Amino acid sequence: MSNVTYASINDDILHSMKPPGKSWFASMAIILVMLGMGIFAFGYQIRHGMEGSGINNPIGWGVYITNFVFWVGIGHAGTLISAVLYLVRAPFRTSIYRASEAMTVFAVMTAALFPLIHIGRVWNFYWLIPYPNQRLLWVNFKSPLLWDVFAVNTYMSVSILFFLVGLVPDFAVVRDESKGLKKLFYGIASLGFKGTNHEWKHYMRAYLLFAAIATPLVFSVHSIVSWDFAMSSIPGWHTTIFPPYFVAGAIFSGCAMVLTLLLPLRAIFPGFKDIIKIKDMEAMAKMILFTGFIVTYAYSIEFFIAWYSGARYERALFWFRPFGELKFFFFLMIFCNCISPLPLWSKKLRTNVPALFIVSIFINIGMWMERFNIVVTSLAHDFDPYAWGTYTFEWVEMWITIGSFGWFFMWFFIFVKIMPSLAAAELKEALNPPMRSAHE
Amino acid sequence: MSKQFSGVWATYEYLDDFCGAIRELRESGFQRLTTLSPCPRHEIDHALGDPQSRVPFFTLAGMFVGFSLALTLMIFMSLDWILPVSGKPVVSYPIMGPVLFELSVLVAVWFTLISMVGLILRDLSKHPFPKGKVWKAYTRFTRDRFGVIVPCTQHDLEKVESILNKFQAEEVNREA
Amino acid sequence: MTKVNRRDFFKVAAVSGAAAAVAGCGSDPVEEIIPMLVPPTEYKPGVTISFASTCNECSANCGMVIRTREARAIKAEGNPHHPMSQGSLCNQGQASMQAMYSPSRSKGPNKKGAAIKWDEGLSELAAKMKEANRVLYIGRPQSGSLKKLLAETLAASGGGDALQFDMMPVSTLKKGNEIAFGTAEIPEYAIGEAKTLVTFGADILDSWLNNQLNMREFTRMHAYKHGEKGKFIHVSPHMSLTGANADQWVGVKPGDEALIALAVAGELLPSSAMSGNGALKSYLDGFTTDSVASKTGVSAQVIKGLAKDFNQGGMSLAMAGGNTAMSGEGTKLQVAVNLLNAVAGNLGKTVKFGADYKIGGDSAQSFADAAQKMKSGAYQVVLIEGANPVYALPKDSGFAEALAQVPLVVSLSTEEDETSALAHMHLPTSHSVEAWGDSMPRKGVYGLQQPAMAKLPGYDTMSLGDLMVALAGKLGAAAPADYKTYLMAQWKGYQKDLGLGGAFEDFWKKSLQQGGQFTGYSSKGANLQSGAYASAMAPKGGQTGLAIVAANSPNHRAEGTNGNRTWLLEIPHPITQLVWDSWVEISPDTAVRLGVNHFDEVEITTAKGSLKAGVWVNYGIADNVLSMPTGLGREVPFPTYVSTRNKSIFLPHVEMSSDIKIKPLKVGTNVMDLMGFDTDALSGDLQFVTAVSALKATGETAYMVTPEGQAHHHDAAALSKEYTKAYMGDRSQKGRGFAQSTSVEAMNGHGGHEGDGGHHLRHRHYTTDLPSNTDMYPERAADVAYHVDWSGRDKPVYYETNKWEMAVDLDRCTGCAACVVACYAENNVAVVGKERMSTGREMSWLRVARWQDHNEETGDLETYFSPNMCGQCANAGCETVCPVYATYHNDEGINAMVYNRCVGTRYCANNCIYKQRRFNWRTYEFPAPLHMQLNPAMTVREKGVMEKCNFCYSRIREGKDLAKDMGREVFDGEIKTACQQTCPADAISFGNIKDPKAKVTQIVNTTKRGYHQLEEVNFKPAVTYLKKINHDNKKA
Repeated sequence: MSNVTYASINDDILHSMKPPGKSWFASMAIILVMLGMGIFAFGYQIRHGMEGSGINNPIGWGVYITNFVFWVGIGHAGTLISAVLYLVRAPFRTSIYRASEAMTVFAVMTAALFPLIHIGRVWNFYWLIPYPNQRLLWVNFKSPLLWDVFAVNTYMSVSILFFLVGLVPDFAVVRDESKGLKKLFYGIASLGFKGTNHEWKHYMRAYLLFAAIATPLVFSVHSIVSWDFAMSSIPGWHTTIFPPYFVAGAIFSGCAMVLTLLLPLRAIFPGFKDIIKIKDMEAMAKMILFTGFIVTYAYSIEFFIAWYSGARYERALFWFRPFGELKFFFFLMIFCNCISPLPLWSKKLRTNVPALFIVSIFINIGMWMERFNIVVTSLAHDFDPYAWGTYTFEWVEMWITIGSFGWFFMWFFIFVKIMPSLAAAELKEALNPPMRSAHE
Repeated sequence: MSKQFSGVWATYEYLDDFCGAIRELRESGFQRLTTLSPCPRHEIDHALGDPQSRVPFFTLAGMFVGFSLALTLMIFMSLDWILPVSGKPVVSYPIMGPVLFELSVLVAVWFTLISMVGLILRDLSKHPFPKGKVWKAYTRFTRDRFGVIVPCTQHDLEKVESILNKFQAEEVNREA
Repeated sequence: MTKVNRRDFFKVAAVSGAAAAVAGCGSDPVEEIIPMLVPPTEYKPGVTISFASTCNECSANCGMVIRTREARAIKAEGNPHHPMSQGSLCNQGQASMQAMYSPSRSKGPNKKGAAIKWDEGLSELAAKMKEANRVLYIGRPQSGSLKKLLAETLAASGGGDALQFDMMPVSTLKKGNEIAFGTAEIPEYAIGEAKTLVTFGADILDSWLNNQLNMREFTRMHAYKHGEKGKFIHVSPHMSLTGANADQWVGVKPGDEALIALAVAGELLPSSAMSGNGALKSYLDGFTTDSVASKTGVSAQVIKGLAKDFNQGGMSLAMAGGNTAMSGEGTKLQVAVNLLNAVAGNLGKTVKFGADYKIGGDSAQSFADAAQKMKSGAYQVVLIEGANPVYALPKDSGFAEALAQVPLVVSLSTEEDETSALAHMHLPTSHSVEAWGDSMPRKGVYGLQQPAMAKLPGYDTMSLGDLMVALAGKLGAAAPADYKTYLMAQWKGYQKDLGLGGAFEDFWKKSLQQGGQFTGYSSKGANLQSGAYASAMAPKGGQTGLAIVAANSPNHRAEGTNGNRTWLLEIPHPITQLVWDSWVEISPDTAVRLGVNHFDEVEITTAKGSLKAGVWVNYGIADNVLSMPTGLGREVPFPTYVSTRNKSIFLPHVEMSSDIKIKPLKVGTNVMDLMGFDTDALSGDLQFVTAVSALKATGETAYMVTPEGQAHHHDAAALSKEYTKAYMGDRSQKGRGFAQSTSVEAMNGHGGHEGDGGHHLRHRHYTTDLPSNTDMYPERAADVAYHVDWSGRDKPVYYETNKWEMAVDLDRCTGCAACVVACYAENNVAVVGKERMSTGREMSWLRVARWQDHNEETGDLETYFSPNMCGQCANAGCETVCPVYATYHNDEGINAMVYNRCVGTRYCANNCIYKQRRFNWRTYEFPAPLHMQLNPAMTVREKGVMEKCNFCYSRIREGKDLAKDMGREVFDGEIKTACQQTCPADAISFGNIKDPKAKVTQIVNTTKRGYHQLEEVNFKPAVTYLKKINHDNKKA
């Protein structure tokens, strides 16, 4: 990496923050249309009730909760990379963590929308928050949904803070590299950060603590999300395997999403190529392989337990998943999550950008299907055969799902342009510092 | 930083020179140094004698505050609204786990952030910056230059400058 | 352009700004509140006032009690004093509320839609009647004073004929009795006293005669009591609800029933008192068991078994009748069955003459004759009241054409229907709930009908009685002031007949209070006439080849009156569980032979016409026989919600709330289009069975809708054992034991122990050994008390005096779904329509699940019913998961649902293992004036709110308040849930488990056959089910 110096890092970052071009605006337009669709559908749903979505009885949760779990899952990889890998000092972390952390923040922001979207009377959503009110109405802390409220809010605020704290020194870089209004703006954003030893001293310690705190969050949040299901009594939900299974799945999908986002980023900004190196991508691919196997194991163990426990309702359900009328989604899930990562065993494909990209897309689809299977098929086929049901998609939930992607990418596109998508300070830290001894 | 600054500041291209200068300065009694660098380097910390931050104490405190907050919150609310559900005790402890954890974490994080900002401001107020034009114009510390600010009295100026130049400072500015 | 009102605007704008404001266009209808200047008499806000009256929905004239709130009738219930309904009311009777508030009610007197004044209308009619040399009056069967008044009126007009319109084939029954016993009366069939009941076609639990009385009596006879229970065998081509409750169903070809009856008689003759009768013997020798067996395909062994069961020394009973029996052999069947009863010595014991039931109307033949006369111009004026012959009679009866020939046709019907559409003038009469009247359904029963509320506001109607009086007056007859005075005059006479002294006012008041005067009658036997075994009466046996039966059910009647009652359309048909549709029932063998599959759409062709319907394969119908429900194919005014059916899932189909109009919607098809106007040669009753010339699949899949979840799960079912050759799908409980059964033998301690969960059904997955519910109540109360003390208050105290529980006796439950209607009526449950049902958006709080389970011993399918409502579980899954305490366990053990607090996460519904919770997917419409039927004691739920059964908490409150006002405790049986109140089989008991003397406590503590559904999940529901009891582990 001889060609990378302290200075060149700054230049690359600044290049990525040049005023956006035609293609940026074009894609932004598409994104905003998607977002608009979502907003319109949501407004329609508020006006006319939940009928526009395929949820019915007995299937009270459908695409919305699926999306919620999906997006929360996406979020996890970000924190994993920025926090856990920071603690273990993983070498490939520095180059990719800023972007993936941004992904976390935006994914959680998206996920946080869905609990609101899916409730029947969204105009009363604040009743879920334990705030002092003159009616002395309190919330039920025995409900896993309330744990969710706390978990997701905590996770969101922590990851946002972590993200912003990481950004401060780099804002300072941009400030010093620019002039005029831009300088003023980033000057405010960087809170007058100078890079003195006094600042670095507390900053580095605080940052370490952030990482240390965020790490258990990665595991706790998705465990709690999984308890929404595991704490209930429905066959297919009432399982102790869920927390680890969900966390692994989350990291799996998250890493895939990181690839989906970073590979294009690399392509768009040539300067990034020698910073986000292909071997970092390869590391991600290995991570995917690993978590992919955990997920596959979880699938198979679910079936084994259903058989081994002799629990008849459980058996009926796991008979229904592959053979019932929702089998398409099951097999799609199996293909995407268990089969499609296998090619990554070969180094050739692991280091081949298009291959990686395609696999990552497959996994994103597959993980959505996994959540759909867990949420819907379990409800469709539980205790009372008379009350069994089936699911059909409706336009409102489709549009809202499209809208959620619009929402996510809108933030990401803005991020790429106004924030340094590489962590300058940490990249420099990773370089060999300029030494006179090295020059003579 | 209201205090009037008097002293010398210098910039370095190479880290080893820089650390050498810092060591020399500290040996010759200049302890209240302020260094600037594009990124944290342990070499600098060592040169400065590995000062420690007190942020962790605040984090711990935050954790305890969050925990007790959550506990009181949940017990109070269950008792204020006695609604038995599903045959569970009105005040049930096992179910509190998740919220206890989450609130502890949340408050701990806020404490960490606030204490960090506070401590930084406190230190900076003790170590004034130069005020000169040259200083204001110089922006390479966040790019690729290391810098050191040595506050000192009039008659120490030569001594400090000589030390700084001894380690081949790029440029040395005095303000008095 | 519809306006966006403030609230909508903020609701929408807050989240989504302009884009959504478009969707937000249109606003909820605004209702002005008009202060009541002149409050109706007896107006007590918030208090339920009940009026004893008589039901007029069918000719059975059961007694009913109409509950009113704020001077508005809100619910129809049975009158406990009345000897026939005995406190219960059938589906149709309860739906009289929907007749009363029917959206298709006529708004006022009109000529082809052009409104006119009552006076001019009546004057014109009177004038025309005077001119006419003969007048025809067609009306509902009348057994009371009105009959007399009508006769007088017609007389005053210078002669006229009155016909009573009813499709129930009772003329056949009368004719049969006339031939066999020399009397044409309808006797009392004392089902309750019989040890063995054999019905030949008579669907006594569906529609034959008075199904409420039948069900009461049937439970008396068939419910397990003191170690024994009667035996019930149904001999019929179509099993129907009746057969589903039988211990044995003998499927025969239509028309073969008589042969079986005679064969059984032949078997019994030697041991009978009539064995000496040579002519009879020789007659019956023509029907030896073997010959009949070979003729009908019913094995000799079955017939012998029948004979054995039937030989009860006079305490057995055979009944015949119903639509399925009307195959041309109807009268002969009646005669044969009468003969059988005679041979078995049942006359005077279980067949009691002297009761003289007044039910049903004139034969179809008499209408054909009337039509002839109309064509020939014999009638210049025809009045039609409460009857819809144009719809109900087969097309080739020529009735509609004949009507067109008549110069003046006047409809007096309450609703606008197919017949009133052909009338020149429509003078709408009030519904019987708004009118005076009386009826004598049986000797010694004087039912009084009083208006329970003022005339429906906005509807300018006149009660039939008053109309007649007015008409008589205009015709120059000596007419009383109004019908009430006329009625009272009549009742003065009744007072004499009854030999009751005292002032008439007291008698009148008492009659009003108890809904009439009810006494017994002197019963007598009868002697078999030789005509009964004359060769002319010898049945030929049924025709071979494919035949179709137009079958009634508790929700379907051939008159078509139920065809526009949304409750009866929405509530699943007891056997098929289909809603909002016609269907054709086919046996698996027939289906396989014809190469049609379950849910296929087929086209059925008869000599008279053809129509399309969906196939529903069922074991409960004889080979080569099809069955379709009657009374459908009518237009129902229903809200036009935007449909998502067959539309892209990606493109929006946006609906503005202002788009929702009440539009007529055609429901199913009219099976009568297949029927020819063939009448029974002897009685003149219409035949409901006709030959089918062709049945072929159209290749389409029929759009048939059922809430039964298993209907969707064929491929899942295909892999389980119970898959049959005709792709019926699997309707079994899959061993989950919702409806469990045991046997009489087991209950009496031999042949297996009764702890065994329905051991002849597929084995229960789990056996549980949990402590009884009641054990954990003190624990719960103590925990609450502790925390109450901790928080330094004195409330709440749990299970202090009340803990409500319910017991459902599956041995009594017949699956008639009257309870479901009651639930809809009491709790303002929304009717959502076919498409919403198809996407699983049904709102019913109570469902009667129908299971078709395989008998592990015989391998036959058997039908079981289990009424499922919210169990108010003590360890409910729903409560704990609600983040906002919108549902919690209240201090009386009710799983309370706080609508206002609900935010609609639907987690509770997901976590309910009984799937009893219903979510409001939209705000549903109650088309005017149906909204006036809504019960003010129950909130009407808005979109986004969860709801479910709460043991009729409004009724509990009402009972407790009453007791409080009277300064006493609530006594057992005072508070009845709607479902319990209306159950004709008394299958549901409800009460306070803390009261040791309460009936429910007795049952729960003493029963040997109690169980909870899904006990292994340990939700501890408050509903205890009692196992179904079968004879030697077999049932139909």
